[in-house]
Amino acid sequence: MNIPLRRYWRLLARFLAPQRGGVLTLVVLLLGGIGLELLGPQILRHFLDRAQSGSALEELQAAAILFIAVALLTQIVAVAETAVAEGVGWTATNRLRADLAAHCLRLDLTFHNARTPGELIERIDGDVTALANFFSRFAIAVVGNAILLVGVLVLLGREDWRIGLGVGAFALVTLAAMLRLYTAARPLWARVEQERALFYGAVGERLAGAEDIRTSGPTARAYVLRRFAERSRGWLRLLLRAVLAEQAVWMVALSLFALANALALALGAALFRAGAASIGTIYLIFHYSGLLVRPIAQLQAEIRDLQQAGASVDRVEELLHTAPRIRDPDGPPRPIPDGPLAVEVRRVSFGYGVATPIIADMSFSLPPGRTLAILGRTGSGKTTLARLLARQYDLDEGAIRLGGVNPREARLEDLRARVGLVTQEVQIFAGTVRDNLTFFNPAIDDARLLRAIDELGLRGWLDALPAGLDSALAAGGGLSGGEAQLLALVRVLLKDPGLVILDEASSRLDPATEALVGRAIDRLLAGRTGMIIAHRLATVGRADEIMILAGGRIVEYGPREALAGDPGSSFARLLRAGDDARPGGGHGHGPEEAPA
Amino acid sequence: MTTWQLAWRLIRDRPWLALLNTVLAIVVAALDLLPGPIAAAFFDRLTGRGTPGFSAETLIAFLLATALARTVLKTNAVLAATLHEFVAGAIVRRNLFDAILARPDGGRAGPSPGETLGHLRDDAAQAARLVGLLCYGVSAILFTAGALALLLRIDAGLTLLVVLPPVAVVAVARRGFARIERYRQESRRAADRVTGALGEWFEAVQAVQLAGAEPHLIAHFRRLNEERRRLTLRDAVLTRALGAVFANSASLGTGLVLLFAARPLRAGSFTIGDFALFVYYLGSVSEFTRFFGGALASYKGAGVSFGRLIGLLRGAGAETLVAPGPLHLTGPLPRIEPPPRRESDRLVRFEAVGLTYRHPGSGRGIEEINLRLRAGEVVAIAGRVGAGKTTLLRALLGQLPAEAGEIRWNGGRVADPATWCVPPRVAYTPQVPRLFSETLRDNILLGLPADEAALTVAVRGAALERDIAALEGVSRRSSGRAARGSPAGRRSGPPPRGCWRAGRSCLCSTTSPARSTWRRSACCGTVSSNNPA
Repeated sequence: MNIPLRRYWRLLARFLAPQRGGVLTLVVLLLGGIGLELLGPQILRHFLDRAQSGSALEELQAAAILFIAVALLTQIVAVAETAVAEGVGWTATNRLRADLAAHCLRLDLTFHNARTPGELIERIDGDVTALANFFSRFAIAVVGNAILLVGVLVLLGREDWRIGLGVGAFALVTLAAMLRLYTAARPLWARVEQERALFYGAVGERLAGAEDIRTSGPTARAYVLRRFAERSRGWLRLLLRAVLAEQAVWMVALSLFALANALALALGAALFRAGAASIGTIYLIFHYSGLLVRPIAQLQAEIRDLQQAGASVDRVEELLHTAPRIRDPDGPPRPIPDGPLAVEVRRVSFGYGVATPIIADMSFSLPPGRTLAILGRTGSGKTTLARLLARQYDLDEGAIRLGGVNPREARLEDLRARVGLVTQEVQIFAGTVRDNLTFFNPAIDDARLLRAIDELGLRGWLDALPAGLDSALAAGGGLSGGEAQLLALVRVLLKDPGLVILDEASSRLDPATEALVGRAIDRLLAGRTGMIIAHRLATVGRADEIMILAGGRIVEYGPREALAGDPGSSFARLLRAGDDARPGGGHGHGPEEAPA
Repeated sequence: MTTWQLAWRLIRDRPWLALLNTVLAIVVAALDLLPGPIAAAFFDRLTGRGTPGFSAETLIAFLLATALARTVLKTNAVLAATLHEFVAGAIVRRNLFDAILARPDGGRAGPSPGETLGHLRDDAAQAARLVGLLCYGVSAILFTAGALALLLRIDAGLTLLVVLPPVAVVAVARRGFARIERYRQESRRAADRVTGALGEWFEAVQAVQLAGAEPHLIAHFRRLNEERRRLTLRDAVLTRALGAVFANSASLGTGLVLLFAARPLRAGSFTIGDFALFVYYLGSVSEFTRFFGGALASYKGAGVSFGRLIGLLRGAGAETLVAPGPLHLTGPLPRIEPPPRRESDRLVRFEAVGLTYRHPGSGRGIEEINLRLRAGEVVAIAGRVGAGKTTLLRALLGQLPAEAGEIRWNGGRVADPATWCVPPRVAYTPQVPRLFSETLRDNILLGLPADEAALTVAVRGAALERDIAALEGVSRRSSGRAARGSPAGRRSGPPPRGCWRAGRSCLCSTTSPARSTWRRSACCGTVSSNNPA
């Protein structure tokens, strides 16, 4: 039990440290509130004893009004307490959220491919929110109630030391039992949450694919519903177990406290008969005993939060401890030279951690300023090669040199600035065109943005948008494939890289857009080294050199003109097939269908 | 149907469970009521007032026994309530899910799958919570009635004097709920902006990393966070302030008892036991007022939730949402029957006559399409982006409702293409296939009986052997997100899904550039393609 608390603390202390003032205010309010709460029953006792001894009515009424005043003040303090606790808690956890988000954005694709964005949102927001609840409510409910408990015991002890000691002993035993049982229940809630997340994850996938299921007929629907029932079952079973484990904590605690109360009342009754206590004192004991139940009940109610927070702490720490595999070099970084970069690939092998390599023993070298077109069928390793050059994965074997520098010896920031990669699927997020181009970088002003757009000859395209740079884009939609690619080209140009790798969109563009994209590519590649994963013969035409891949190996490599002129080359065969394809619309194959 | 009727249907769907939940809650409430009179008797015994009866020690033993019995029963009551609410939620979730899977959305631009999921999760939970509250509410009402009856018997005037002001305070404070609701919505929207931004950035994480944009995004993230902190704080403080009013109403009541009972206490007409009873129940009565306020808000919330859920039912009646269908939460899972293959289903002629569909909003779509397809024919539909190729296929399948025209199968009019144009009569492969996080085998079969040999034929038919070899076998690798890294994995699932089901006719919207697979497969088909290949 000590261990998780210490870990919560370690995690939170880092984020609470800058807010000492707020935390101090909170402690003062907490103690003040508890003091007021303990004062109420004392007034009651005073009232009852005076009423029994027949004091003046005015004195009794004054006590009643004092009681009401204390009650009101207690509530005011409680509201202030909430304001301070929530403020401190949110400031602290927002820091944690930002740190976690930054950490996750730095983790490599191996990490991201294994996790859905929804899962990461759960970690960064869901788990941290559970932690925020832990802080703002647990701090008040658990720490506050613990102090209240001690206060009640001290005041009981003041009436009679045996009562204080007896109830105190029970309180200790109860807390020990609760903590032990709590430790057993904690992992169950983590599993419930996980099961719930899995359930809704699966349902979400089916909703997104509802048309696929509908068009696959009633069998598919029955199958999906059966899986739905299966997952519901697993979730329910765990939920009931977790609730039972939680209730066990409750049951033990309340039973023990009932015993303690009975003991206190029995002692009180004996004292009263012996004349050692007034009836007001007995009522005080009764009232304080009743007061003990509430901290216990609240403690147990908060235990659920604590358990969720516990599971959250585990996951948040795990996430924070996940180190990116792609890191800056340990030693002093080497700068990547300016200008177009030479690309040198020597005996490179790579396979996403699977036994069969996607890239096998590949070697080639591309002089600076030249443009290389890469052809090959799906799965031949084209995209993987691009990812390796941008260091989105590290090589299994072999070496890569960009401008003579091993990318692993350069700082990632420098590498990303010098190598521009346009992916096949351009990722768009909700925001304006400007946000999508600059990624919220305020340092890029509109003038620079417009220069880049002009340089690629895209001013006409921009002017055609309803609100220019302020046009709102929806996530994943709203732009045609061609437009998205144009946007990605501007993104790359803003970095002014020395090597541009372009994974061409495979979707067909209308001729106007195609011409626009083609022109933009030409301008982007001017004065830079270029590598294009080509899906169109028009694109292949702007390459100086041609590489044909199959099964992760180079089957043909050479200057375009030479290969085109050699009727025996694969490239020449491909060109002929492509020529058939255009005018007649017959049975030609695109470059995608290159012979393997 | 009203919120009340819907909730009542949900309760009636599982009557025994509802009864168990309610009865257990009532028993617990009765045990909550008992300590009041016992404690009162205890004090009167000590001070020598009231009627003689049990000794003080016996009364303490009663108090103890009541408390112990309560803890045991409470555990059972909580379990029953958990089960009941889960089942009620599961009924709503299942019915809604089934309705979405059963019917196309009629071409309306409905909520995105993400939003639908949000409603399925949160609104179904809200509806289930109302069911739980209604069952619990019975016990709360009985408890309050019992407590008031006991208090009125002691001193009717004092009861009214001390009970009414707190109730009035609570009633007035309820007005604050409207503002809380507004604050909460605003803070929720701020939270949505935070999670929305995260979701998009992680969806586009590759682009973010390639652009080296992490620091700028985090700076933006901090701004969104700060906005959310401000709004949430406002919401929390108001909620707490209203909570304080409620909590205070009990203390206020106790203070009033002190004020008004001072005279009779001195006179001896009001005992310490009576005083103890009043204070004990006052807390509970104000607790009830608070519960009632919360329940009222939940009732309204559930009404809104029901409304949203019914809107997602694709035109099916509201009663569909609360139908007592089987949940299969226990016992054997249902067997899945493969669709019957009837000779009459064999395709001779597939026709569309005057088929028209225009997308609401843009007005684009297809108009007056006449199409005839004979057994064994392959028809390619060509056209530029936006020409209506996919719209035509979806209209042929009934996934978009035709404004005019009809579909004919072997000359007979198809009344409901959405349910008729399914395997084994028609198979469809969409341009962007959806994979689920199951094994590749399950993705292909989708519940059809597995026949290893036939599966191999289908996989070969779709020219997928190489892709599957790369994925290490049909059954091993789970797909969905896990396959994202590999383009082969992303594209490979559904073509064999279509092949496997293909009986008589096959519609395929190709990924482009077209895979040549469909020309090799043996079914007759309609191929819509962006690629003249």
